[in-house]
Amino acid sequence: MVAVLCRVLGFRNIETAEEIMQDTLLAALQVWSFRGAPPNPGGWLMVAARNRAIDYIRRERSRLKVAEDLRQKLNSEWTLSSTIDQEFQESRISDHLLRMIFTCCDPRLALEDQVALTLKFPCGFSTAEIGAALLCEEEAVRKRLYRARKRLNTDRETLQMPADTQLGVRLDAVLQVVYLIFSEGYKSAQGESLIRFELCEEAIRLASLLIEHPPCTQPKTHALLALLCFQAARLVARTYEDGSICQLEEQDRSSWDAGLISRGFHFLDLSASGTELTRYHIEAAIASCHCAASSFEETDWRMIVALYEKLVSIYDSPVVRLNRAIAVGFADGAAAALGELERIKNGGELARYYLLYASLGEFRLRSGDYSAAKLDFETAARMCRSAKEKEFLRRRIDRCEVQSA
Amino acid sequence: MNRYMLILWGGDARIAKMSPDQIQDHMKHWTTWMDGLAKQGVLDGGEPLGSEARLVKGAKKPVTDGPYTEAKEAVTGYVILKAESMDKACEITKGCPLFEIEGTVEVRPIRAM
Repeated sequence: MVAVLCRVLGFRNIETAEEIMQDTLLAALQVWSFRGAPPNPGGWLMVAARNRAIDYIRRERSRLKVAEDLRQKLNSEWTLSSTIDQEFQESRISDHLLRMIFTCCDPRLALEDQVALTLKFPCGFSTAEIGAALLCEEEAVRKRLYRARKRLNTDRETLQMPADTQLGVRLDAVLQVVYLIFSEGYKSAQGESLIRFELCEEAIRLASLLIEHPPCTQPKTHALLALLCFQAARLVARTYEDGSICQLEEQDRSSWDAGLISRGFHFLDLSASGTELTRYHIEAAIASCHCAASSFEETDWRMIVALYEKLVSIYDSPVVRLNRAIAVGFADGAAAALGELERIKNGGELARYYLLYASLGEFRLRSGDYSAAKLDFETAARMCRSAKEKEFLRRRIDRCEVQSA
Repeated sequence: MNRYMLILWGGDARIAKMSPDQIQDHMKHWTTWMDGLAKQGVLDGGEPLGSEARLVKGAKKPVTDGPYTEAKEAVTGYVILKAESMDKACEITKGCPLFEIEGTVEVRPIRAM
């Protein structure tokens, strides 16, 4: 609803939009605690917010700078309420959300700012929730949002979709933000819990919204959504009941979400058109290989290695090469993986990346080199900042000790 | 570009007989029409008027009730247009939703003084 208010009032009045929304929620709490919640709470809130918006515009008409293209309509009583009604229509709300996403994912802003703004406005997270999600202080989030907003306010009066010529660039930024939100939820970089389900859900919700809107319904959007579905399907299986990490090899595949997997394949099919091959296509294809395998042993590691080759060719990064090395290990044996991993280690770029050492440790352990494996796991544990992953590495170190004894 | 005031007469009696849904539909026509004018850049404001009315007149300026808006011929609103000529202004006026509710529009040029 903030998205609608923001559309009507203009992005620079976003504080007002938020105030109106809070005021509405407060009123709802008061009224509902007296009379009980109405049968359709969402509808009630919508009507209440609409009326407050109209009151506000009437009161502030002379001073208020509203969205330029609505100005005339909001200025006259002939058209004010019916214009607001139109903007509040269910079918338009997702348009407004979309405009808001595109406004927040402005490539001129730092990626972290885009992510924070997207979580704040289209997703409706509070600053405290954003702090918890991105693992920083609430105060830091507030400052970040303030600066980012100021930057946008200077030249953006209304929520507009970018022009067609810019849409492509902007869509890439949006997809990247959605990808980052999911990644942050999929494997939290630091802190107590490994997975933040709420971030994964938001990312899927945003991607689902994108594919509903024609200019964004592109093969790469389908590819991203397919990837998110495949990954989300396996979320629950990635930890044991106590929250500790469960490796792919030991996961109970029957707990993978079959519904999400089939959605993943559906979107993967839809992504297979056009000429553009994106990292999302390949990453979705890799995830689909895991989802299609009925057991760890039956995984088509050759195919996965081939897909990583492809990924390296269009999106080369040390982390991608690390993942390829791991896949090579499962396809061709630990020795092949260790060769590649050593090469990456000597490259130096990942010298501070704990997963490199964790992978080295894992394949040394598998090839029976327990003392070297232990050293690698210890290095990884020192660099790792996530409590659950540290704990997992500890267990691997114990394993090395037991094996070598 | 000259400016014209459209003085809108009547229509209220018909509105009073309409259901809330019909009124809402009708108001949408106003929005569409005025939005169209705004997009063409010819709209320069306009408001509907309420039914309460008083007259202030004469040297002593006594305030009396009326004109009675229940009467058929009461001013119910105004719209200001920018147009090249009286003919153009009248042409634009033909699209006014007031005619759906049996109203009359008086088109007057705004005099430059």
